[in-house]
Amino acid sequence: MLNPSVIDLLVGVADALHADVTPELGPGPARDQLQAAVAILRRVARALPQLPAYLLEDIAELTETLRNLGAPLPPLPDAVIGQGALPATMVSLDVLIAHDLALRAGLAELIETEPSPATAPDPEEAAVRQERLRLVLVGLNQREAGLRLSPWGR
Amino acid sequence: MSLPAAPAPGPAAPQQQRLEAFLTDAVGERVAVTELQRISSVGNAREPWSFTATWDGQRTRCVMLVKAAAGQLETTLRPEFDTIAAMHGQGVPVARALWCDDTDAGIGAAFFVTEWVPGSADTRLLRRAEGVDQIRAVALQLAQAAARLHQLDVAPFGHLNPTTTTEAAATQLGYWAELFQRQRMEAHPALVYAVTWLQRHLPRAQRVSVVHGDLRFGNVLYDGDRLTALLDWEMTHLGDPIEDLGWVYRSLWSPERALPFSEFLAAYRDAGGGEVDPQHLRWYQVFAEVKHSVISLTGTRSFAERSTTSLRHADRAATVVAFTDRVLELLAPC
Repeated sequence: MLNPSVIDLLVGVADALHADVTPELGPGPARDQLQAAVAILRRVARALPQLPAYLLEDIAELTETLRNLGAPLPPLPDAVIGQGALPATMVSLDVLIAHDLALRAGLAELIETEPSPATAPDPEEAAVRQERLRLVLVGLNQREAGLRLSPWGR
Repeated sequence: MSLPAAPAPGPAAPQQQRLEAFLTDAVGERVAVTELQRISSVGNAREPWSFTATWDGQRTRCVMLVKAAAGQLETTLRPEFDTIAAMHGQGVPVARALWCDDTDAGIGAAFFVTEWVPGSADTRLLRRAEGVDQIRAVALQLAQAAARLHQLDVAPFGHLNPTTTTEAAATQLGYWAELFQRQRMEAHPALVYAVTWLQRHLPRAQRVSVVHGDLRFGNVLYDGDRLTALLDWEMTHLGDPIEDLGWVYRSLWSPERALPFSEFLAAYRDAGGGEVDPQHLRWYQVFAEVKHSVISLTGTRSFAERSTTSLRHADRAATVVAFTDRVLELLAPC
């Protein structure tokens, strides 16, 4: 079954629960659970269509960042993103997510091992690299905030 | 949670009988428990209940905090109870501590009881246009209460882990950084950036104080424009008093629109809390974002592992973006 789409189903379930079940429940833990569930379904339904493009952009930027900062890159997944038989946009979400997580782990490792400007042999260069890392993280956050997944707004 | 969601009419619930049995044993004479009901709360680590205890012809209205199932915080009740007990009569507004059972033996879950204090902790006040004067008044009293708290002699708080002015920041950071390693389900490079920065810039405390650990609107009971009690001491510890000031005005619960932070700090200073160095404060503001991020990650992991079924925790990790945004803003070059 391809139609209704997953997104249509999520939105439909959320709408039905909100319209038909919520009014039947008085204040209390059960109603709290239902309201949280409806909100999660709606957030996920909103984010899902943007996820492949988000991951591809994230992967491209992280790859470039790690390369420019001289950090090792994780091996490409078997599906060979953007280089193999399949174009990147046709690689499964699971593969994209795994590769993005590996790149993020690589970035975290780089951050931990970057010398502090206070102790580095070249404090100026170290400060420049720290600021580059900070700006990369600002970019990552902006992109993730675009998915609007947070239950408390951005 | 095994207690009933509301007092059922008819025969008393078994939990009520167990509570009566526990209190009777604690008091040494027959105690009747009536009006047991759950209090509406957005709290996570404790489930609040109210009831009336009657013995020897005296009626005492009580609040019972029951340890919740696993969630975003794993804390024990006894230090919280002992802190509230030691605080009573010291000039810090707290409810009077009455009884504590940190085992499951009494009512099936660990709990403690305090005397009921009038007021509300509703944070919707912060968003009400007409509430400005009230928020301002309560926020000023919060600054004074914080100053008083931070001036207390720490000797009566021997049940809390000792620390020193040089170790206070490192101890707290070590605790939350270790929890971060344990609870995260992915790398979270922005949090790694924050933790690395904190580790490289550890401040030295001016003094060691009792730190509330979650001092903010939401954990403040107010009645009209009067602050009646500081609540939720589950993260209390001995440490650097600036830690509470790095937490109290986070954007989620800030009363900034009614009382600018600079005025809050002035009120804190005037009440004897002392001057606050901006760089020292910034360290604790970054720390606060890391701490709340780790609390969110803990909630998400608890849900992922089904140690809680509360859907409020299910996607809490998504809040980390906003928290680390604030870190990256705080750490931007001047």
